[in-house]
Amino acid sequence: MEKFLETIQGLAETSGIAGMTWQQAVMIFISLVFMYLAIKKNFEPLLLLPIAFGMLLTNLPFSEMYHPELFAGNAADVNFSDVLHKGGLLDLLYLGVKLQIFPPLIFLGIGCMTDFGPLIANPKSFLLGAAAQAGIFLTFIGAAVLGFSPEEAGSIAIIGGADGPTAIYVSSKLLGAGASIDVGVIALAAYTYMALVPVIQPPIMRLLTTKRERAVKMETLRSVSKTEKIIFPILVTIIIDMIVPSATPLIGMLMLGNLFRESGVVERLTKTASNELMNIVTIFLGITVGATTQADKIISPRFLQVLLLGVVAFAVGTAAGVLFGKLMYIASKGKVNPLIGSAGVSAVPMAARISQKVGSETDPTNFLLMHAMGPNVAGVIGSAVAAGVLLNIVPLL
Amino acid sequence: MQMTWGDVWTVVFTGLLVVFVVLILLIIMVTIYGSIFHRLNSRKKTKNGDSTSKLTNTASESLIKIKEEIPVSAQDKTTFDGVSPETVAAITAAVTAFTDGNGVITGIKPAAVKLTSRKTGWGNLNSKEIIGSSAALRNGRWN
Repeated sequence: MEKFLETIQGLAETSGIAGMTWQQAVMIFISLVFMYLAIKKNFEPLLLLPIAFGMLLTNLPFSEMYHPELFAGNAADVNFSDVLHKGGLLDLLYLGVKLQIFPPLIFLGIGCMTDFGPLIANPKSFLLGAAAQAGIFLTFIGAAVLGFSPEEAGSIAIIGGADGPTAIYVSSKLLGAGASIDVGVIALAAYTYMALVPVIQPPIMRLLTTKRERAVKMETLRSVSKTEKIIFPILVTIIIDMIVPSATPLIGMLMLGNLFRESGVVERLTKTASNELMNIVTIFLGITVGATTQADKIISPRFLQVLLLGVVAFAVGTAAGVLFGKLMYIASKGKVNPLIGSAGVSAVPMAARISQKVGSETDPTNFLLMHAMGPNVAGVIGSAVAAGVLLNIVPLL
Repeated sequence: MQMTWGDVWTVVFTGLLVVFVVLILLIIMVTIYGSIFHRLNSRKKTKNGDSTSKLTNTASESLIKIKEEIPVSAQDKTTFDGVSPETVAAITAAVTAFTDGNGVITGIKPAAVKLTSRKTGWGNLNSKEIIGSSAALRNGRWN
């Protein structure tokens, strides 16, 4: 009987219930909330659902699904032999994040699904894509003031690009062993705000524009020939590599995907990259990013600061885009609707849809979607360039 | 603060400057090649327009030829074998376009449509389909 009780006591002591800390309980609760938002409210479910489940797995007591100690430091510091011998499934999958493999692959899929036609038809949209990147660099100031290191500040600032893969790419390159935050924190903040684009952007857009400006109907875009669309990805890759080579892995893959699409000769590859490959990488990326959100890292004042700076980055990016749109409205004598400026923050195609939605609130016959797609895809290029700049400058500080 | 204000402003200004410079460069490049292609396309369109007008001219010339070959008494008539000159011109233009101007029209006359049975349109369609299918089978084509 004594032996039986000892066994029961031993089992109870090693059970999940006994091993659970309050922080883990909070994280499990947050993961359940995220699952609810993904399933019931349809908030970016493709990413939020795997992230939420990864969060649940990693915070279950004694689950040992993911071992952050194996990935301390930069990618060059990782002992791959340890990862292979001691790591589990999530550790192996996390190599795709740590070695910056997943974000460029996601960009390949995005390239296959993106039509740069509206941008080629109206190249001035590039300016709105550039203006919206102000959110990244102004947030850098805030992060510096709050005492983050240059690497941490760069990783937080890139949240303003509203581009999940870019945020993961930059933070996994910049954040080293001594960092007080890690990739999971950045990714979680980035994807949370991307899911909240329909909540964050409209009030800022309404605040900064007049009814008259919102009602502007833009001229129909010219048609773009197939040859122009084929030349575009090649040209962009060459130009960006010449100036910011560190952005090439992202831009190169984005443009390769787009060349697949526009050339029309590799339909099978286009389909694979935009469907199967994209879905596989999304699953791997989502679950591993979720796995990095361990309670001790998330429930800390540092994470709250990152969340605060993230929303500032998003808001500033949106405001800068709209304000530049206003400038273009004045310069074009009322031909440009400033609402399309907010789409420059990337977050394709959600931000463009928001421009359309806010525009149609003022005038239901106003169709801004195609006009907003120009700055929207310019924002993807702009945030990748900004990422390249941060990767170049920050290590030098 | 772990950074000096100098470092912070360096990142902010350099970052914004490089992003704007790169994207402005892209605007210039896309505008240049966009205008080149726009010009080329409009030139092509104009060329196509020329060839269309050429074809129309050839058609009118053919019509004039046909008219010249027709006896004066026939020319007085408003129709040629019951076909109006406009229809003759349209058919001639189509034939000229199809044959690249090498086709010769020897005559145009309306053909009487023989109704073999008093079938409805749907009934005739059915027999046409059967004929089409058997012809396709004979030719070894099946799609």
